[in-house]
Amino acid sequence: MELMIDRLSKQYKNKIAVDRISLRLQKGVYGLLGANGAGKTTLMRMVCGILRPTGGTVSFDDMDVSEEGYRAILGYLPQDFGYYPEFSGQDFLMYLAALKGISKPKAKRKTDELLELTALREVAKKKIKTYSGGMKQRLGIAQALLNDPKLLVLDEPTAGLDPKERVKFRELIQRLGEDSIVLLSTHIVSDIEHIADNVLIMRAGQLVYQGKWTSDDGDLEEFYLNKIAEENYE
Amino acid sequence: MDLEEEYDKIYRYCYFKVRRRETAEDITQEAFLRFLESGCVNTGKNLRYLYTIARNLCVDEFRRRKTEALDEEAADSFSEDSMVENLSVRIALSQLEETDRELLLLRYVNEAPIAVIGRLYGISRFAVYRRVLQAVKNLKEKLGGDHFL
Amino acid sequence: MNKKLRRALKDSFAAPLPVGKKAFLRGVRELPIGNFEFIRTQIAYIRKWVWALSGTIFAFTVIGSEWIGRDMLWCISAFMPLLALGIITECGRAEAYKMAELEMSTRFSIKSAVLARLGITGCASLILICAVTPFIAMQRSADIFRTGVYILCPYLLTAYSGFLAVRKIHGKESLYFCAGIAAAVSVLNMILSQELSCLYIAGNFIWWSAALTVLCVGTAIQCYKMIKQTEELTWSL
Repeated sequence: MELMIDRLSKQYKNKIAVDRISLRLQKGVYGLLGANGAGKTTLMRMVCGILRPTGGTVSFDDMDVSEEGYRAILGYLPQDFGYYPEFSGQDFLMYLAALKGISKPKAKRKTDELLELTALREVAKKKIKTYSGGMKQRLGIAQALLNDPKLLVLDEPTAGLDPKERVKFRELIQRLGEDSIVLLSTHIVSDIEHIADNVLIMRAGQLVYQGKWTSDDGDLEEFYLNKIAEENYE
Repeated sequence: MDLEEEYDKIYRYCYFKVRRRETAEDITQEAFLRFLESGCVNTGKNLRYLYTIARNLCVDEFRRRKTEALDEEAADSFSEDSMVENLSVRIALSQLEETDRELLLLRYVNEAPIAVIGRLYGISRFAVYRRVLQAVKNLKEKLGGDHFL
Repeated sequence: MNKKLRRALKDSFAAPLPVGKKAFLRGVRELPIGNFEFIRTQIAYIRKWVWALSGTIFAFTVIGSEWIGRDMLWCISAFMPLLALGIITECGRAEAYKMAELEMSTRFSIKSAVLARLGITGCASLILICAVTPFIAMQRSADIFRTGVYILCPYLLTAYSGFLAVRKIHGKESLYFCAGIAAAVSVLNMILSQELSCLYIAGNFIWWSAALTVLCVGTAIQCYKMIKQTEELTWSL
């Protein structure tokens, strides 16, 4: 199980959003740190195949990102997502399950399981417009897990979660990292400290650090700020 | 067809026949692999085909072992790890014919459609109904005047 | 066989928990849902009012042609923009409600979903138009082809403008805009047929044919561009 990103780039007319990033990811949780505008979301979108790179390739176990088989093992939670106004939480999950090609009986089973997992059972039949921000985010996480993804890409997943939800989320991610590749991005350092085994730091479209991280390695925040500052002097 | 659910059902069926967890799992996985490769997927023949493969693999397994040892195991395990409430049912089941037990498993526990059972045994749907009803009748007889009735 | 007995049976046949299940199921390629199955699920997601509208138009035509007679033409052509609105909104919903990014990353992806819905609603509309045209033609003792063209023009005009709007305007506003377009075309149609009935005489048919051709091509192009747009995220940076 390996995600290979090879010299991936995205260039707009007068801006380079992602600059020749190369990565090889195996099972585990990878935290992508970087300020807003560093290119994290652009990178993630290319990994999900929804943005075409101007250079480089992305592949998972020899499957190119453009193949249907790649999307079949992918679970994605965008930074911001909407919903059809008439949908309840359950409708939302069933709808996306259909788009993910999951058969109806399995979709029903997975939907129930995931609603239970994200503690949304009680509000499953209520319309999403009645959900709080945290509930909506949990629903987003649930849909990403519908197809038992081997590659899970989460863009700012903890936004809007209260401390209790955050703890549950961290436990969930750690479990998932045991047999899939989880790539999550955030600009909150403490999230990564607690969840990720590996840290990736991005600045201005480039990868400035990549490596393992444990609590023995010191304060991540300090390291991160130093890394960012370092670049300023070059 | 929900792969995960069917896995549980086929596994239960195999375990019922071979009485060993590891072997049952191996057979279940082998059956699924053959089924997926066959290209019969998403046609109406799904379940029937899957059960047939599993059944054939179990038969192959029997041939590999000595029959006597197998029968003894089968007779014992229904009284193993008994919970008091279901003890009477388990004992009644162990007194039934193997074929009756299998029918009850397929019809009431795995909830396999009559058509699937029919094709598995090569008998008509009507014959399946008849045999299932007979199996239930036999079970109730063995249960005697139990509060289940 | 009562519930209690069933449950006891389920217990009795319980097997020790399988160990390798999760790993095995992950290893096998997922049973794909076939293309027809996918289209069927998409049909379920097309909103009911679209079907209700089609049904109403048809019923109205069949039942009403006796009473309304010649005026049936402008009645039905006034409804056509609404029908077109149905198609456009079905295709544009994902983008309007910010579901597009999510839908793009799925196996079937938004492009297939939009194509499926376009196909379904498009076919349905075509069938409806073919079904009602003979009734209307009968009332006016005009030929079916001409009547068909009179009905198709407002339909295609709305479709063309609608697809253009959905492509250029983002968010829910695009849907409101489309509704506005539909209403405008409808009203325009009514005015034209009442005030300028000379437009409908045989001599002027050449203009209608020309308009139809232009609109056909235009709509097809806009449609194509809209589908292309669903292939990747093109607007947000």
